[in-house]
Parts: sequence; structure tokens; C-alpha cells
Amino acid sequence: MNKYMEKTFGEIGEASELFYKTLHAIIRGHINWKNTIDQMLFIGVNSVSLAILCGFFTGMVLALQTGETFRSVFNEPIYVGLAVGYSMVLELGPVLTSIVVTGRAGAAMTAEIGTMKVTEQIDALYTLGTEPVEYICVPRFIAFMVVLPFLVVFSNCAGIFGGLIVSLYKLSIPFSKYWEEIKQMGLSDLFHGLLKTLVFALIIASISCYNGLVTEGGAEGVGKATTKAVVTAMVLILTTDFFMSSLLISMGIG
Amino acid sequence: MGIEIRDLSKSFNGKEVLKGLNLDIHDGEVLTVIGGSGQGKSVLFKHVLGIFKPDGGSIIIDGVDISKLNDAELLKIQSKFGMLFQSAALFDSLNVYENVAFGLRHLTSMNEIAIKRRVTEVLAMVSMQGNELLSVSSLSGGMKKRVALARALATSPKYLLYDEPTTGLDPLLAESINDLILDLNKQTKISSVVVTHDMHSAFKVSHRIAFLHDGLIQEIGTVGEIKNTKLESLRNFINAGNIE
Repeated sequence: MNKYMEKTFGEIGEASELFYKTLHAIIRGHINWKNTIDQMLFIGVNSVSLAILCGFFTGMVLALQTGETFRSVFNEPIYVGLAVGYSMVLELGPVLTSIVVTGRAGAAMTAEIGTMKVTEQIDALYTLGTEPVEYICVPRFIAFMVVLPFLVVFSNCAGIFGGLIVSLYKLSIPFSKYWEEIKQMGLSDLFHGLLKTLVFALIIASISCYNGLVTEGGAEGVGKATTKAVVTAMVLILTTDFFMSSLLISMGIG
Repeated sequence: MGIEIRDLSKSFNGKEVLKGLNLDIHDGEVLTVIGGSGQGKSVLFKHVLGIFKPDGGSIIIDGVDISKLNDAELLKIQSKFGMLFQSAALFDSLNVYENVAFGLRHLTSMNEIAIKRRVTEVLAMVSMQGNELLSVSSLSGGMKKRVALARALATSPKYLLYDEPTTGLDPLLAESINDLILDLNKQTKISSVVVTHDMHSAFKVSHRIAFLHDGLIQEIGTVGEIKNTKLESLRNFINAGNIE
């Protein structure tokens, strides 16, 4: 037990150090823009269709379940727009998109960095005048921070649109009523979701890069590191979501 | 001024790999470190490069103890090294040209024309000219090693480290790598440290040979001195390599 705790705290310490070094490099402006743009395209292009698809069906099922539940209680499907809008923008858009991106881009990043580690490419960077944190982590941190909020906005829009389709054709709710309810959301609600998204982006980037950089033991090690990164990031996203939501609500944001 | 390693010790998961190792590497020489697998030869290299932090002792490069440097200062020292990694360690995402140009872009202020000229020059030195646009995945093991050597040479480092340069190569290719190490030392006077358990290679390229065993340098000397050693573990090691 003691050894397990020691190992866990050791990893938290190393990951925190990596996080600090990365932020320090960003603040000093040590940014490889070519790599950063490549990473933005990698995350964005690979995940945008998944994020939209995920959001669209989540919006549809939210509308369907809310509508049918309220119909059975109140005899009519009320507040479907409100339920879909708030659920997507405050919670499901940021959380589900982050989880999808973790599985798609985060896993690929850990596997790529892990392979670089076990094939000594990371060590080679040192002899070529390049700090691995600046070459590997900084572009990925910035890319996640910039791209993930866009993906969340796309997912939110797709979810609201999916809810609209079900509302119109399944629940017979007029467009004007659905839209009126969606418009009740304010900017602070969007801000609430996006603030959480930025924290999730930092979690995915930190966990993916850290697990990649500490990979050991060849192909098996890369597989283990990738699995660990995905599981850790998902659990952290879900737990952080609760605490962030509590904090933001207590601050009157969203 | 060369490299001085003093009382270097390092453990991994409680296992002591280096136990107070001492070694000097002089300017302009080819020093080969021989020893069995798992004796800590690659660990020694990674300490010299500053990738591993020692548990004890010091590594002094050109008068500077690198164990006391911060990341930025260390990066300057690391830039003095070129290294041929055992696995070549070429960047998969870049082609041959971009791999060789990588260090030039990060360590020098050369413009693109000068970079192109230098890349062509070093690729010619390792007989890989004309392959600039090939992807790394399309290269054979020997080609990868030669491109990696070109990449290590491109920035004209003061020290060149070779980690198992002939491992996994056919005898002719291994011989050509040995010739390259010798030629480079003659042409450029780069100090070279070779880590290998290929005794033929060690005897061919070295000015001096150091025998690493049980975490310490057990013997060091010229090729002749090592061939006539009285140390039993070294004699066994040499004989196992089928060398006269």
C-alpha cells in the first residue's frame, strides 16, 4: 500500500512538474508554431465529425427522453428545448466531447510520444538542441486549449439541432417554442461550459503527454501507457466536472 | 578539455548499475567502452548526455559539472554532442532531409540554402546522397544508421557518441560504419566514444578501450594492452567474441 501511494504521489509530482515546465515555456514564448498548427489540425480534423455525431445523437435522445417523460407526467412534452439546451451547453457538450477527444486524439498522442520515447527519439531531441517539453508538450497543450472549445461549440450546436429534429417530427413541438426555450440561455451558461472545457483540455494534454514521456518497455509499454492515459484522463474529466460545476455555480457563472 | 567522469553511481529500482565509475575521455581520441549486455553502457552514455541525473559523482564536460546545471545551461552542453543511437532514433514524422536538417535549424542560424548545402554534404559522407525525400519508414536498418550518423554529424559536434553502431548490421555494412568512424576521426578530429560488444569493431576503431563490468571500469588501455590483458573477466569477454 505504501509503495502504491509512493508511486502515485511520485507520478502526480512528475506530471505537475511537466505541467509547470510546459506553462513556463508557453509564457516565455518558446512555441513551435508549425508543430502547434499540425497538432491543431490533427485534433480538429480527426475529432470534429465524432464530436458532431456524438452531440447530435445526445441531443436527439435528450429530447426524446425528456419529451416522453414530461408527456407521461404533464400530458404534454414541455421544457424540451430548455432541457436539451442547458444539458448540452453546461454538461454534456463539454464532457462528452472531451471524452471523445481523449479516446481519439489523446490516445493517439500518448501512443506517438510513447513510441518516440522507446525508440530513443526523445533522447535524440536533447542532442539536437531541442527541449522535448517545448517540442512535444507545448504544441499539444496549445492545440488542445484552442481546438477543444471549438469542438464543444460544434457538439453543442449539433445537440441542439438533434433535439430540434426530434421535437419537430417526434414530439410535435413547434420550432418557435423550442427556439424560445433555447434563447433563454445566457452567455454565462456558454461561458460555464467553455471554462470547464479549458480545464478538460489541460487535463487531456497533461495526461497524454506525461504518460507518453514516461513510457518504458517497447510495444507493450506503449499499449499500457495509452490505456492508462485514456482511463486517467476520463476519470479526471468526470470528477473535475463535478467540482468545477459546483465552483462555477457558487460564483454565479451559469 | 574533454570529458571527466568521477565516482559516477546510479541505481534503478534498488539495483546498482554504476558503482562509482571513473573515466576520462581525451580530446580527439576514439574511446570504446566494451562490456556485456545490461552492464550499464547505455546508462553511462545517457549520463554523459545529461539525460539521466546521477545518484552520486560528477560528469565534467569541458570543465563544467553538468549535474549542477539548469535545463537551459544543460541544453547548451548537450548541443556539443552528436549521438548515433542504437535504434537510429530518426523522427518518423520527418523525411531524411528534415531529419538531417533538424539540428541545423535548432542549433545554428544557417539560412535554408546553407542548410541544404550542409545536408547534402553530410549525406554524401555516409553515402546516402539522393535519398533526401525518402520517408524514414522506407529505409533499411543500415540506411537508418547512416542517416542517423549524418544527422549527428550535421551540426559539427565536438563529441560523437556511438551506441552499438554495428549491432544488427550485416558484416559489410558493419565494416563500412567502422570505416566511417575512423575516417571521421581522422578528418574532423571529433572525440568519439563508442559503446559496443562487437570486439572486431572495438579493436578496429579505438585508440583506447575501457572494459565496463559490474558497474565499474575494470580495465582501460590501448588496443594492444587490452588484447594482452591479464584480467580474467576481460579475457573471457574477448575470447567469447572469437577474436585472436
